[in-house]
Parts: sequence; structure tokens; C-alpha cells
Amino acid sequence: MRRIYTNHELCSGCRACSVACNIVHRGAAGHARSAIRIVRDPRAGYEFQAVCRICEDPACVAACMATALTRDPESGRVLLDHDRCIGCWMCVMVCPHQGIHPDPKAHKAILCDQCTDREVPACVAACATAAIAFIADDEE
Amino acid sequence: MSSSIGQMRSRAATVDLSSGKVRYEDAPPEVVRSYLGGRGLNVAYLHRLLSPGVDPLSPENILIIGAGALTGTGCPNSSRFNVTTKSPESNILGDANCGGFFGPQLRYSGIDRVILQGRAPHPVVLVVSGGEVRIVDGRAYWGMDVDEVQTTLQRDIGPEAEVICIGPAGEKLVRFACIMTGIKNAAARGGMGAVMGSKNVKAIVATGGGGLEIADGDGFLELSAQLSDYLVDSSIVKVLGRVGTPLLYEVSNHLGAIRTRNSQDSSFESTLDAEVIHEHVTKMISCHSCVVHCRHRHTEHGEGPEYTTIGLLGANLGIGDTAEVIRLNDLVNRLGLDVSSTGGILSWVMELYQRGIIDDRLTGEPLRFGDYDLAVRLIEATASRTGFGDLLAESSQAAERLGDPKRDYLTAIKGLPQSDPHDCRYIKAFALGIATASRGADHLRSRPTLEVFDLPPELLREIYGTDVDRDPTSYNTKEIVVATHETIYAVIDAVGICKFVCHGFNSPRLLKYEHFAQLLEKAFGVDYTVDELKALGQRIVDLERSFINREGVRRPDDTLPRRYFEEPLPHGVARGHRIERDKFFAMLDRYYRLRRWNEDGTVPDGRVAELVAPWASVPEDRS
Repeated sequence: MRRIYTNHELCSGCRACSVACNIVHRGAAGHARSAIRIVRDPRAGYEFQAVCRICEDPACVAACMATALTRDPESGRVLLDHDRCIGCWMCVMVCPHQGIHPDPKAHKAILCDQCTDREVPACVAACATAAIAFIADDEE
Repeated sequence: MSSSIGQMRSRAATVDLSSGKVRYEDAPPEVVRSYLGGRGLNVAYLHRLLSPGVDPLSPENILIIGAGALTGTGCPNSSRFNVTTKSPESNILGDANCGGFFGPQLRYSGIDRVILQGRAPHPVVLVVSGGEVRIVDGRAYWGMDVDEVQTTLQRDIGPEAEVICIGPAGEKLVRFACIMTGIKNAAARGGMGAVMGSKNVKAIVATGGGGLEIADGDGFLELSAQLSDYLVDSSIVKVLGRVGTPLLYEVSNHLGAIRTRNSQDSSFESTLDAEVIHEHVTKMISCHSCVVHCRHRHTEHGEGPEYTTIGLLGANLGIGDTAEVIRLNDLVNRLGLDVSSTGGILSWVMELYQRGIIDDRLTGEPLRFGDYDLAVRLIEATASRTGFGDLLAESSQAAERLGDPKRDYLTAIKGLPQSDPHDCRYIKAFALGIATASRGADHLRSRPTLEVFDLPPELLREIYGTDVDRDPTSYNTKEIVVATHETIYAVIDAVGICKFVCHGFNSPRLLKYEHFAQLLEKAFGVDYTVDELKALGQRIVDLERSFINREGVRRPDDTLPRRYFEEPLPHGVARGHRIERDKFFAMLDRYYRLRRWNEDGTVPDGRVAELVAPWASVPEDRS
């Protein structure tokens, strides 16, 4: 399976990934409803990409009381059933990578779908520093 | 000309600080079509709303914060917004362009332009959210420096909040106080921070949360990715991304044209070279959607220094210690001072002291070049307006009290100290560019330096549409060079893209009119031809000129600092070069003819009528 990998050392903090995700999934430039966020604190001196890392044993799935989050045994991807999500934000709180986000507008969780309908995920295509890559598990 | 603006959104919130009332309106489509956004739409509003002769620090002045047309869309380097007002430093147009993250966040908050009128009865903070502007009590934030107020507001309002603010200098109405966002991004020039301070506004916070509709999302992203790939491949983007603007220090120093000790000299130490600066850098980072990442995060968690800082707080003050220059950079940023004017004013009084024109009775202590501790004291005294600093805070307007009434030793034009650390006696087009710049001595209106690259004649013909003289020291055809750059820079500032990825600033091969047209079409479904965008750029230049004409600017104001005419440069390639008055003014006359302005430097009445015609359908509402 190919999946999104991130490298915070190459991230310049520009948020182009976030905006591209928002455009593809929401039709609008922005980052408040995108599945990948840039967490940055210029005074503390860091920036990193917060996006689902497809954990082998995802804490979000275990925490989801509504069973809206499941792990696809075949691909390993975490899937979100919007109809079941009740917006309790348990997943948001337990994710150690800040990889799942609250959507205050729809009151549902926002989870990266790896842009399965695109050849390359929008965030990967938008990154000018190659800080996000879309590669197979067995690729370097 | 089509009147269509497609999906382009230009929503303005006009905040009357005196009454506390806020009015919302979309800019008339004809005006948006004619001026786009950013610098263009800002000056369209300023020209319409502000009566001539207003005291810039009075409640009658207005302060406009406006995002570019493409700002926040996510295309390469679309982070910019402009702040526009009548400048308290020059008393003409005040207009400053700024990157960072605030511009996009303002648009994601549902507002594209904030227009401040009047004066709040006590310090306030404005919070932009969900398409509305709230005025909240700002007294608790008054007195904080730039870092503290942003950190505190992000704690109080939310970590996603992006803030523009003033530091202590803006509160004290220092005439070259700037508006800051983040650690080092500044709407720097012309005293924007003093105007904000005069209105009792400490900060404007944009919370984001929304988005900006994109007409053809897939097409826009594909085009953006193509342009990004193209830009990242260019050698100038690569080197800017590696070491940032300090690389320009060596170029100027090599030419013998780095302003040194108040332009008495033109060559300085290699301790300020880019590679030396880089020893203090931990990471190169970006503004919003930027492919260049030219910002340095340094070892003390500050950002910078830029070429301008190195030049004007380093060489021009005679300070060569790298760490000291970095500390001065951080100090002016925290206090909210414009680095260019700070360096220009400090070096001015140091030379006046050196020449015995002023002495300890006025200054309280000896002023000597190369004294870091003195520079710190003067900067702090300026920001707090204490002692001699109160006079420094008046910028060029202190000339008479400093015993230099004609500003013979100040490198300034129209009252604005020169920004670029480059001494303009060598490249003649550069000299004309700072003389005609609509906000005073500033390089970001034209910076016609492509000539030093010795480009082939065919390429020059392609850039300028006609043959131009390849010799940077020639006065021939340089009016064409300057006008060409001014026009495209006006469009760049109206679309809200950083000049570092655009045609003309450092390279002839980056983004230009056709790219802006394509991006606007994909983003908003709006059609512009290349010729329409060029005409739009000319319109902005002419309207700014009309604005400063109304404030009294005429041909005698389009001149250079005395030293540029009278004293030849002492070093390097540029040695022996100065500006010859007769050739310069002949070039200026040719420039006016090319611009179709009158011989006295005014815009013809018929043209002004054309420029304001897009407002015809809206009733007059002038302050």
C-alpha cells in the first residue's frame, strides 16, 4: 500500500499542503477543514505536519464510542464513517500525532482519506520542499 | 473592458473607531475590475476616502489593511497584504506590503479589507471572525512588545489566530513605527504603526475558520503545482531558499555600492556576508504557501536578519560584528520599528555629530559609528521617545532641529529614508526608480537591477518591449526600464504574490502577467488579458501619483539625496560614479513623457477623471 509520509525537518511551515487539501475536499482555499494541518510555533521554533499516520494499532479507533472509525484490515487504513460520527472528539484527544481534526462546521471528525481518487494526494503535489511523500511501504 | 469579476471576493469592513460602528460592503465590481486588490484596491479607497491635507496622526486619517486578489489561494507565495494610509513620516502616500500568515487568515475570516477611521476612546483590539469585526478592550495589551502581544493574544483568542500589531514604538507615535506580524514580518515603511497607534488600535486578530471559494479547484492546483515546480528549479529561488536575502549584501559590497557609515563610504566588512550570517541559522522557513523559504530562524529563536538589516543596522552604522547585528535586528522587530528608517536616521545623526553639526548638548553623549551599545540605547530611546530619542522619532522631520534643514546628510527622498542598502550612484535606473517611487526613497516600487546581470540584447528586448541600453551606468532609455518594472510591481502587489518569485526583481524568468492571468482565471473564473493587467498596473501607478500630487508632490520632489549628485563613490567597480544632475533630470523628463504626465510631474486632469470613473455608481463618502 502507498501512504503519505511526512518529514518535519524538510517542512518550511508554509501550509500549501493544508490549503490544497481544503480545496480538494471543500472547494475552498483555507485550512480549517483540511485533513492535514501545519502545527507551528515560530517562537518555540518548530513546525510539523499533523496528518493521519495510519497506525498499526490506532488509538482513535479504540477510542471511538460510535464505531465511526474502523481499521481496514486489508489496507491498514483508518476509515471514517461520517454518518456514525457524533463529534465527541475522543479520537482528536487520543491521537498522539494530532492526525485527526475536529470540523467545527459539520461537527464531525476530519480524517485524511489519502486522496484515494487521485493519483497523488493533493498535499503531496502541493509541497514544494518534498516534506510530504506518497510512497509504498516497501519503498525507501 | 469586461466588467466581470467572476468569483473574486472583495469584502470591506469599515470600522469607525470613534463611534464603534462597523459597516460591511463589497467593493463595487467596476472598482475591483480596475484595481484588483492589495495595493491597487487600497489606493483606490484611499484616493476616494481621504481629503488632501489631513494630519496623518489625526482621527481624520484612514488606515487600510487589504489582502491581494490571490492572497490565501495557496498558489506560490500568495501571502501578501498591503497597509495603506497617509504617511506621518513623509506626509504623502504611506503604503507597505507584508507577508507572513495574516493576509490569508484575514480572508479565511471572511473579510478582505479592513478600513479604520476615527480614533478609539481607549486602546482596543479588533477581532475578525466569521465575516465580522468585533472591537474589544485592548488596554491590557497596551505597552506590550511585538512578541508579547502576539503570544498573549494567541493564548487569549486561540493558537490559530494570526495577528498584526504595533509595538511600543507605534504606541508612542514614532514616525517610522511599523506594523508587525509574526516575529519579523513587517508592513514596515512610512510609519504605518504610528497611524495605527494614533487610532488606539494595538492589534488586529484574524481567527480564520472559513475559506475562500476556488472556481476550478483541480485546475488551480495543477497550475499552482506546475508553477511551483518551475520556480523551485530556478537558480535564484534555490539560492534565496538556501541563504535568503543576505546574498545581496555581497553583490552590493563587491560593486563598491554598499551604503557604509551613512553613505560616506561604500565598502564594508565580510563579516556580514551571507555565509557568515548562515552560521547563526538553524532552519530556513516560509511565509504562507511560499516555495522559496528565505526566512532565517536563527539560534536565538528570532528571525532574520535580512539584507536591509545587515546593510542599514550593520554597514551603514559601521557595525560589523555578526551577532551584534542580529541582536539589533531582533530589538527593532520587538519594538516595532522600521529597520530601514531606523538605520537611516541613526547613521544620519552619527554623521552630523562627526561633522560637529550637533554635539553632546543635544545628544547627551558622543555619537560614533561602530558602537553597538550606543545603537541599542538610541533605538530604545527612539521607541520610547525619551531624551534625544524623541527627536530621532520624528525621522526626516527633525531636520531643522538637527541643524541640517536641507537634509544634506540624510539619504532620503520625499522625507522617506532610503530602504535598500544599495548606494544608487552606480546603477542609474535604480536612482531614477527611488526618485519616482510613490512612497519616497524605496526600492520595492521598481528595483531595476536586472541590468547588472549583463543580459543579452534579445532578452532585454523581450523584457522591455524595445531596445534598452545594456550599460547600467548609462542614463539612456532607463526611463523605459523603470516604468516597466514599476508597472508590473504594482500588479504583483495587487495580486498579493511575493516579488521573490516574480519577474524582474531578481530574475527575468519568473512569474509575470500571463501567469497572474491564468491563476486569476482558475481561482475565480475571471478573465484578464496580459494587456489588461499591464493597463491595470499603469492605473495603480497613476492613481498613486495623483494621490501624492494632491498632497503637493511636484517635479522638484522627484530628486535624489545631495550626496548622490555631488560625491563620487570611493570603491570597487562603482568607484568614481555619481549622478550627473543634467542627465538625471533629462531622464526624469523622458520618464514623465513616457508616463504621459505633465512636465511638472502631475497626472493630467483627464487621466485622473478616468482613474476615478469606476466609482461613478457609488455616492461620495469622503472623510
